[in-house]
Amino acid sequence: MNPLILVGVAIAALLLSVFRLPTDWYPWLSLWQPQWLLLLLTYWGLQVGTRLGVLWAWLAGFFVDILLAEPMGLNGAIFASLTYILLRFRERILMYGLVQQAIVVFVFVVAAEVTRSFWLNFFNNQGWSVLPLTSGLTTALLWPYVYKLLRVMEPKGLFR
Amino acid sequence: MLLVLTLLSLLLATLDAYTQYLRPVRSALLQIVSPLYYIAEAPYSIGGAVSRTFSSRQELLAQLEQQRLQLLALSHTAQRYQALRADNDRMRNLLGSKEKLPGSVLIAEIVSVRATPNSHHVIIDKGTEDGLTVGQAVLDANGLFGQVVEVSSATSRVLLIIDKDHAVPVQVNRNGARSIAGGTGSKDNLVLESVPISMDIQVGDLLETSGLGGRFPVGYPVAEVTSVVLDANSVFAQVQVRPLARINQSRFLLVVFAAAKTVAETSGGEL
Repeated sequence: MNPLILVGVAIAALLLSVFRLPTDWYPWLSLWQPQWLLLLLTYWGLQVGTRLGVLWAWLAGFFVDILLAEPMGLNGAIFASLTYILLRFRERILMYGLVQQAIVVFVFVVAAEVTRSFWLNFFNNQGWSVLPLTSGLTTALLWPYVYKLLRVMEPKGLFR
Repeated sequence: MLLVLTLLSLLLATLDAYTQYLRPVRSALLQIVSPLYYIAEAPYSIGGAVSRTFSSRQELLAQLEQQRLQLLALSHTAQRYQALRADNDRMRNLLGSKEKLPGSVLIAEIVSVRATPNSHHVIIDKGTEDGLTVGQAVLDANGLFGQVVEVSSATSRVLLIIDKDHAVPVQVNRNGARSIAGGTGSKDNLVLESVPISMDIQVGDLLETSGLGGRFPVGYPVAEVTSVVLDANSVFAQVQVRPLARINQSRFLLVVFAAAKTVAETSGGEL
């Protein structure tokens, strides 16, 4: 286990979550922003199992709240709940092929975004949009590639 | 564990939404994570720098010429402004009211943009070290851009006027009729709230900040009316307005420091 690299990957995922697609030129792109940190958390949870823990997921979410100026605790709650579900069904999801796993990721992202919209509606009075579906689609499409990429990095003892 | 964390989240979110206790925590953490914004924005800033470096001589000359003409026009306006201001001060003196002091501005650069259907804000490269406080108005070259909602020592967050959570008190420049312009989440649309059908407002009218509410200084251009729909079945007119600020294109912003005497002492409630 090399905690330094782990922190590095986590920071990279945080970076990607602040990174924006070129929305200045194509405003519709803002709907298709993938959820990088969810991808990483899913991979991480599948690989290391209970060593991830809901507390770490919550902490990662907390930093996302600060970065994106969302109500404090929102992303923490979402990430922690999803990690809990992920760990609960870990063995089963590990048996799936990449496409089925991508579908699981899609469901996760939709659940996360719907929770987020609901929460924002409750505290900030904002509207609904198709963002959960579009964002879920891009994230799910990215899953096989991210999985393979992280897999390549892993034999060097990255996550263990 | 999950239950505890969820409850903690709910507690934090409630505190965050309804009180201001968490503001120092946020600003301290914003300071820690702010380098991430610079790095994440690097592709765009490097791309901009490259395109500036390699822009052709012809383009630069054309740009220079255009800016010269603009400067000429603006300096004409500035000359008139001096005379008009002196005039205005004399008249206000005659009426016995206080002179209006012009505020000063600070130039800030955008370092990160967040644009989703639900939230529109940007991070700028100035913070408490430069004297920024929460609630200051932010302009771009064309009109009102937003307001400062979060400050850390070297960066701040600016909520844009097009954000769904944002509303700004405005008046029609032509006749002083007042209303409130709320954001819609779309970059070329604001909506005027509860405009009675009897209000005198026309397509093409200029809206400026009215200064009511004490948050924004009076008299900065906000938007232009693009459509007025009078529906016989409704007591309110549906008025669409287009923000004058170039929300997507501006890179440099002006943070307004209100002159000390004209700052209204308000409770500074959240918008």
